[in-house]
Amino acid sequence: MNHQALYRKYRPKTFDDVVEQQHVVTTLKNTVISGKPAHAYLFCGTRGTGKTTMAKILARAVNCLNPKDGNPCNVCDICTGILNGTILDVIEMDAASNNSVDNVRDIIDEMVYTPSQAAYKVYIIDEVHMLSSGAFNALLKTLEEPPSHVLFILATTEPHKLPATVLSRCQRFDFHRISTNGIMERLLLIAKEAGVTLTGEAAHFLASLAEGALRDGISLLDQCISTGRNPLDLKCVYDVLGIARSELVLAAADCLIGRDEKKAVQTIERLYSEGKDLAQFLQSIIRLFRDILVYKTSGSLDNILSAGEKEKEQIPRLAKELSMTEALSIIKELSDLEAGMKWSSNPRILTEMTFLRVCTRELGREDDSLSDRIRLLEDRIRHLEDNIKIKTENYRHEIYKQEQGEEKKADDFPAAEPFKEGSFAEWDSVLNELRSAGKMTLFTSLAGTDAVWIDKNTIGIVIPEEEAFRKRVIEKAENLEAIENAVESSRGQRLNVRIIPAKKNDKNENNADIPDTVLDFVKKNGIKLDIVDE
Amino acid sequence: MGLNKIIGQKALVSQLKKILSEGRLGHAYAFSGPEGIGKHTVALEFAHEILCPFGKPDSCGCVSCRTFAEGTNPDFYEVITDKSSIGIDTIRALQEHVANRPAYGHKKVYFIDGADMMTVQAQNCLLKTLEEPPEYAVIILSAVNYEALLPTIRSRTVNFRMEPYSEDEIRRIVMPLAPKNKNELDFYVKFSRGIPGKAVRMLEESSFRDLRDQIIGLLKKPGDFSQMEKVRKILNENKDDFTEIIDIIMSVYRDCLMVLMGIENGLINSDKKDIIKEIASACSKRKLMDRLAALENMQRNFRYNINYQLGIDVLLLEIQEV
Repeated sequence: MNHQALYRKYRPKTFDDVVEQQHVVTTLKNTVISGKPAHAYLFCGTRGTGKTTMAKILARAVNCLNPKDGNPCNVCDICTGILNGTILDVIEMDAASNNSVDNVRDIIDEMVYTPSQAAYKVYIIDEVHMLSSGAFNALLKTLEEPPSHVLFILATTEPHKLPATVLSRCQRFDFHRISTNGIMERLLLIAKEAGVTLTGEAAHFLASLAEGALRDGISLLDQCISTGRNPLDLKCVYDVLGIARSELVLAAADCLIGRDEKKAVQTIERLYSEGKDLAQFLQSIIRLFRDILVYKTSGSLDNILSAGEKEKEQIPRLAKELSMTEALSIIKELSDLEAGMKWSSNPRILTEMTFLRVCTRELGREDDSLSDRIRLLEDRIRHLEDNIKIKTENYRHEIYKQEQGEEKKADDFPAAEPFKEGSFAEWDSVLNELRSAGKMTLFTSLAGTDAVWIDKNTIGIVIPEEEAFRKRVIEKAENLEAIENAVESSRGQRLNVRIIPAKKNDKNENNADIPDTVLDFVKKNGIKLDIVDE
Repeated sequence: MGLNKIIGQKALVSQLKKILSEGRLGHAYAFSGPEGIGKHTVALEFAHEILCPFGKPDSCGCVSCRTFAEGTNPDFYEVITDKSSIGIDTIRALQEHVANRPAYGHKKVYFIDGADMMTVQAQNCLLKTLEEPPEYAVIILSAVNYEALLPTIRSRTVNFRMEPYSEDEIRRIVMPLAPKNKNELDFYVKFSRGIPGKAVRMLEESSFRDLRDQIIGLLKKPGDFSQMEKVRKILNENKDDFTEIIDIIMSVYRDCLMVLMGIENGLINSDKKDIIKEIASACSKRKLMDRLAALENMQRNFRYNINYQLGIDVLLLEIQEV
């Protein structure tokens, strides 16, 4: 009854056996072939990507009597000795439980002795991130210049916790997460050797649950196999892991997308009465929305995580009904919920609340829905303003008609008053236009000013001479442009805008610097008065 | 004794039995599920079956089984802690023990109850042992919050989630204790969230019913400050039942929300429908949501040991205001 967990039983024994991680495998194999291994290696990467496995293989490969193409032969005395633990030259140390300076000193003390049988004494220090800082520092000198017969292999999931002085002394190899396909193939292989039929669909789903960690995948497979069911299909995997059926997940997604609060709550009720795990359910629904998002952007079902055929059928339809921002905000709400649920004693009520929030816009608290609500308000205000503007314009048009009788002006805009000397009548509406366009700085700078006609195509803004600051704001190119635009939209005619300095209480008089005679002349002949300020 | 004595959890029990009968026993298992679902019980029975060299602990009289029943079996090692966390020293002690071969049978079982209370250091310390213990050792973890364990721990264990009992199962379990009023029974079934231990305890302790009636009565007039003062008094007097009280309040507001949405079937407090409707009529959805959020928030805060008195004051003010 020496059953071993699958991930131990099927731990790769040669480099070629390792799933993916080609960048590491090639380098290490070449090192072994060349016969010149470095004295310290650091393997890092997430769990289940093969760090310890690789370390064990390397320990055998460098010591193997007749390596084949860089791989350990696993049949020679040394290899078998290391495999069954009778050779003491490969020391696998658990740094997490032996993390003190004393433990490191022990290593240093015994390291000086040459290996008993193998060529190299290999120290595999696993979970090395847990060493105390004192222990790290005690190791430094040794790690830099160990005796020629010593090889260190450090392995960790958290390389950022190692001091820089350790990192710089090691050859570092970063292990990548394993692709879903890689995990899937391995699972199928293991299942086959364990005498269980695993359907492709189920394998793909297990692989996607593993999230790049092969050991997670194999542990899950182990759990499924232990139910004794054969063949293992998707439904069986769902049952074992307590994952809600696709129909329920899809139904819930439909409620969230269709903003049907009543049905959403009833779906949760159903989940509960069936004794399903809410956390698992959430994960599947988040996965579904993620898939919808992926489908929306890529337009293909290639990178989909949800395994079921039902999901694959439904995703295109759901994607059509959902906007990108909505999908994102739903995913955000749900992942917040997932995080919050860990600590909640009331996961059900929490879930119900979140579903309600997603379904009912007005109840949302998150930024997205807030901006949604603001946009709604803004739209309404703009609409209101437009109505007012149309009304005033109509009103002005009426007055104009009354003044002019039925006589039609040849000018392009019926509402526009003809050019006449004196003040520019639409100035107030220009200012309003600027304000509603959000140009508040400009608006405040212009408030209280007047504008006068200079000639048929030009108006001048009268700014008191003392207020140079206002002038500076207004005369910026973009601001003049904005004013011109505002004039155009309220008068329907493009006019040039100039700034005219004026003395206090002398608003109607264009410019005191310019002699009256000149001004008279200008007015009479309709010459464009271009005042350049310095 | 043995796995046969476990009520419910049929799928799990048959799975465990299958593991044993087919000789597929691995080296690391975890049982996870809410408090009171029976993790401890199942783990102990599982351990019992593993340890018995003859494989039938129901009727066995071997040394292993006898000593196990007495709680003195040296091959069974249970990590018991009275502190709020399991530290690295506890795990080191366990590791030392792992090195010794079993005394009676061919297996040793290590059981860490409340494994999610292990500190990060302790979990890291356990990693290597958990991955490759000696062939005679089986490590069993139990955790309320399986996700709170390090991913590196989780990837090394086979996790069995103990699913909440369905409402029918709970109903069957508590039927003998049940009050005559069918609606009230419904409340206990729903409020227990599929955890039989909880349902039974609530039914046995009459104080729970009084507490609930009292609170629901007070919630009728949330605007009235003197009422809130009384809620505070209750909270102060029943500090130990804090979670339960908050749960009751939350269930009431949640029901109000449901009523406002026009769903009247799935109410938790179905026996108090009239009162729920009364409260609901005075609130808006938004108000209720905010209150629920405040309650949820406070429950989390209390886990971080905030000042109890201050926390309650803030909570009540928020409920009143929002």
